[in-house]
Amino acid sequence: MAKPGYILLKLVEVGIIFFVILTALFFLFRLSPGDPISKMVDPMLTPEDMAHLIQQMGLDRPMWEQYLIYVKNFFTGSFGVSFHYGEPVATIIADKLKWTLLLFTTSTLLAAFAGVFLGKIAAWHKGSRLDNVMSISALVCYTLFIPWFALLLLWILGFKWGLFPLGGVLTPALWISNASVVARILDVLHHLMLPLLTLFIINLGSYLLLMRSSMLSVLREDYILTARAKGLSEKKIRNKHAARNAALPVITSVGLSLAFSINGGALTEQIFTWPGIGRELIFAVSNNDYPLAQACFLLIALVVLCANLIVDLLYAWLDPRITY
Amino acid sequence: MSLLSVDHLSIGYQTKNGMLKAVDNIHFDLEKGQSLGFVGESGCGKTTIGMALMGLLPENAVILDGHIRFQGDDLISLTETQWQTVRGAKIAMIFQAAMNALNPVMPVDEQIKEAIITHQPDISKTDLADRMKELFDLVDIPARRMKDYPHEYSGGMKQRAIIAMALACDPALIIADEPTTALDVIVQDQILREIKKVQEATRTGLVFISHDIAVVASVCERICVMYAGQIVETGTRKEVFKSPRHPYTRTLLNSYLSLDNLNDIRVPDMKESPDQTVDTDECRFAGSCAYARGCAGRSPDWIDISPTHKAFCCNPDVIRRGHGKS
Repeated sequence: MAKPGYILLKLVEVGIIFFVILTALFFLFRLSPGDPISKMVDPMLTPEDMAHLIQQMGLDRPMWEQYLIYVKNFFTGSFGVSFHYGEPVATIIADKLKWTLLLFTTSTLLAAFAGVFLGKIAAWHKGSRLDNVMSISALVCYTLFIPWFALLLLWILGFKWGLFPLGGVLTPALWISNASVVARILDVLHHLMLPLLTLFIINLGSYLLLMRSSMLSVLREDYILTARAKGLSEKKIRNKHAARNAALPVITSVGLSLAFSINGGALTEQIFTWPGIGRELIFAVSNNDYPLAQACFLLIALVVLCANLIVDLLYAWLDPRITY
Repeated sequence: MSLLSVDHLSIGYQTKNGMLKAVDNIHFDLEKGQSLGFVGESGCGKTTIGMALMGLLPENAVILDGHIRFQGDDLISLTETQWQTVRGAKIAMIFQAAMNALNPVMPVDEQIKEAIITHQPDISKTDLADRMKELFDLVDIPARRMKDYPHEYSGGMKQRAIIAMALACDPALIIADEPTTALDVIVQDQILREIKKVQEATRTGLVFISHDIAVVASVCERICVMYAGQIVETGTRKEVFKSPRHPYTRTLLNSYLSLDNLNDIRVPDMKESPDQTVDTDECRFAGSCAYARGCAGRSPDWIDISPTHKAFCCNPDVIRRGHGKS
């Protein structure tokens, strides 16, 4: 069990790191080519209006004051207004984030559970035909090029066989009509299937291989021999003694891939026109939508940190040696 | 009926270079409450014997010949499921704690309870708690440390916990494989006393395996000296330790450092161990033997020195003469 002191220490650590990122980001945006004034203020305006706008945006204040305002705004949750949408950034991000989380958490967790289960079996029957089939398929999945595979599934399952919609998250007609909640959920799930399947298959390969090799090294440990010497059944040795130790590296991997799915999933989101954060970030950067891009970056940092924190705490709970 | 009776046991390992005979025609008996030590250098086959007695031989091991009878039953013919009812319940093993013998992510008491519950699934909670307390008392670990994880234990405590685990189901036979090898001498001494005390108190049969003849002599009533898969000398502790007869036993004792022979250490000029993939009746030690006189090509035989003491050699004169400790 993780000790309260350890949790507190981790929280403080995360807090400090986040503050550093927050600061770095502020200066990064000030350092980017072109000053914010020329980006944010329309040059067609009269000098008086320009001066008024600059003053209103606080851009005439000294740098340190701007920084303090920036930090204050972050903690009060006001990220400014998107140039493109003209809406508060927080609202936009919240909307996009839920779709990203839905797709990536589900696919990563499903793939991790399946990978741990199958990898455990493969390692247990090492060298058998079952193991060979699983390992080679996993290797193929692992080496698949995501955009190619995504397009392939989209083409076959979506376009040729028409089993799934080609993109988006919902059918507009259904949502305008007063369909039941169940119908709406089913509609989202229907849209979710293709991207979910793509990510699941690709992730499954790496988790299976990771679990398999981890399990194989654990099976050589002496405590497995001890467990045998106690007269435990094979199943108990495999599930209780071996798998629990072997799953530890998989947990780290899940944490990291969840953390990076927010931005790393941009390609998948683009192909399936999934309205998530990754797609939004690309859009914001290519359209010079600074407030939106800045908030996206902060969000990514926050998610990476949180995922790491969760992995750390989970690890401390699963492996009692960590807290020392 | 003996508790354990091993009869002409030969075990080989399937290797790239053919069948390696790790245990060659081994023969011994053990009565209830007795202790028997196996001593020899690395690779002499002592651990293979221990693993065979637990039914835990590696996959490439083959039992070529012989029988292992335990309480009258032939162990070699047991299936894996039948073995699971023997292991831990009737025959238990004490491993070396320096190895990762305890699962790092499970509290120590859970790991010991597991051994009890596996063989006595109907045990009540209070009986289990009583038994746990009894076991921890027996090996001198304070009860408040029961729920700790293995990494919170010292090396000596881990070894005690492993002994407690082996004792959990009151086995009739305990196999201890190098149980003190990685411990410092003081803790080693404590643990050896512990094993001896417990073994005498529970009247358990003990097979003790070590490379250290002094350790074996301090725990066991009888000693088997092994070389290249064969027992070369067997006798009571006193006979083997005080009046070794086989040239290899003498070599082993001579290489042992003591205050008496500090200036007179004769570390023998040992050749490489013989190639055990070659099946032969000839003496395996002849190449390194200081007493070898025309032994090459001859088969050694058992030579009796006393009813309990005998050695396996081609040269009865060398064995009968008895050179004391050198």
